[in-house]
Amino acid sequence: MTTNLYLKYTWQQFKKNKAALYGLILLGIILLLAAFGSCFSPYTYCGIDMDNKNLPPSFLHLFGTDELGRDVFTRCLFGIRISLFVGIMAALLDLLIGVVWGSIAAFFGGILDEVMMRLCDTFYAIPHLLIVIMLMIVMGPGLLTIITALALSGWINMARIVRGQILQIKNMEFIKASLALGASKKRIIFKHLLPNISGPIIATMTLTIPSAIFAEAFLSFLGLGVQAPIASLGVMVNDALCALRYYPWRLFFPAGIIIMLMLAFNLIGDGLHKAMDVKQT
Amino acid sequence: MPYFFKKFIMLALTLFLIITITFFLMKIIPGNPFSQEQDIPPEIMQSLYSYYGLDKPLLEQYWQYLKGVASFDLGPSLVYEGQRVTDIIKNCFPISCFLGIEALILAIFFGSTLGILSAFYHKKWQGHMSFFLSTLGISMPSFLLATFLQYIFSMKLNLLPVACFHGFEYSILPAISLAALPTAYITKLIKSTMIEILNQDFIKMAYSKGLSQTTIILKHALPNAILPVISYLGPLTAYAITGSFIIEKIFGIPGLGQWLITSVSNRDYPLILGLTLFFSVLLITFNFLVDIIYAIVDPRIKLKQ
Repeated sequence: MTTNLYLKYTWQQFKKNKAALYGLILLGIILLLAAFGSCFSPYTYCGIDMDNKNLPPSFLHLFGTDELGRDVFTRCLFGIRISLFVGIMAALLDLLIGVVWGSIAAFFGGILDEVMMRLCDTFYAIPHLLIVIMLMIVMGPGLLTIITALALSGWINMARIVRGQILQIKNMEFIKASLALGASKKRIIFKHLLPNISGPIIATMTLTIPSAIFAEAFLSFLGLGVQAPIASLGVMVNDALCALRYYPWRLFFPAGIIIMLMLAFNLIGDGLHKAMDVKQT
Repeated sequence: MPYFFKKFIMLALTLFLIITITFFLMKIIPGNPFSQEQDIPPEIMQSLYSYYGLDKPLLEQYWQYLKGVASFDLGPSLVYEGQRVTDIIKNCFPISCFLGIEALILAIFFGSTLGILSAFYHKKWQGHMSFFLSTLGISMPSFLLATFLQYIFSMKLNLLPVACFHGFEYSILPAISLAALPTAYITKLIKSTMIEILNQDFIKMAYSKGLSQTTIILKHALPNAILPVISYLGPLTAYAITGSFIIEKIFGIPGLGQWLITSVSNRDYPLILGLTLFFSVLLITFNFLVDIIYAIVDPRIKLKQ
């Protein structure tokens, strides 16, 4: 009941924010395209057609074709799926590690808290790129590696936020009351602490997704991402760069989609932050 | 004083942990620094290994490295013959640092201007405009912006050089690409704090005293709104002056950014460690400086705990 009210209130606040609504609509359109767009396209993402290389956009090929004659529109749709998958999986893993780490540190406090937070600081000070590249070499490039690497470098922020939030409400009266009534630690963590900090967690997650999408595009751009023939938006940008001078449109479409995808998530995340009244740090 | 002492011990401990973690992590990576040149006879391989001390037990290598670090010697590069890690840093860091500082100046100047404007014209078209610009800035990956800028200004309009690094005009496009994201972020930070502050009593008080708008903004509101920016500037500075791999690759700049990736793929162990250490020291130092500045600027915070 109370959760419903909270959701309703958040939604009401969210609706007032026009920019966030535009973001939601933009994301909706992108999602629909990614899910059903390929039904209307006669091409596959890896179908090679050497007679129709590097065509400019036309009605036959909406976004043109690439250097192997593959339809860029279909590849873009496929790339959106990959980007979304990577972004969402990385955000979920971040959430899992961050919530467990942060809540243990905050709830038990003392030396354990100190040690866990020092470890956070240490990981934070190692360049993320180093961890990602080491992992790439050990595990080999691929989707799984990217997701693991992103989660490994991204959970620290989540852990810090969760810890800060829990420390804030840990000593509030209703927790003390619950303790006095004899509630177990497990019950307090799952029934009282976590639901009360779900707002900031969700808001942080919506901003983790675009940074994960960016990181995937970045890694693919470096040639460390998903491998051919799978198309990700970053790989397509990278391929297009070699021929930028002659076929600029090949860069334009995947790049535009990356920007729109990130814009949508950023607008929504911003709106959620405002609607739930979370301070951005 | 005890605060600084305690903090300093903590920093030293963190650095030690970083060296340890990086040292053992990089030894896990399969491969070795000499396998690029194909088919080295085992005897030569053996002598290379013993020359660089790689045949000793891991713990002894680790101890040797720690001793080196204590005397500010980061060891020789295994792949680039005759170069010491400190030399590579000394040669490449100034270029990245120059670019980074240029980007920082751009970001701070435009970020705070846009931030103040958008807080002040909140809900007018100027406010919407700057909100749109800053959200776009956050959503635009730096490598895409860099490519667009390069395409428009260098290839199409022929206004600025495409790549390389021989003077100030070569640094304009890279600096803009590096500055876009922090500019957008600073705009957002200043805007959100500024709006909160402009509604507070002491600002209303300042208005009722009849102070001019410029005075109120610059003397009363801005010093308060700048606080979150200061804490953001710590890590930002460390990242900015050590160079960005991607921007340096796109614009062909011989900075420090590219070395981290090449060193890992070359398994150039001393170089990996040296660069990581260099970056970590900078990051930790800047965060430490931020703490101090914060305490000086904001009298509500006392350095204790």
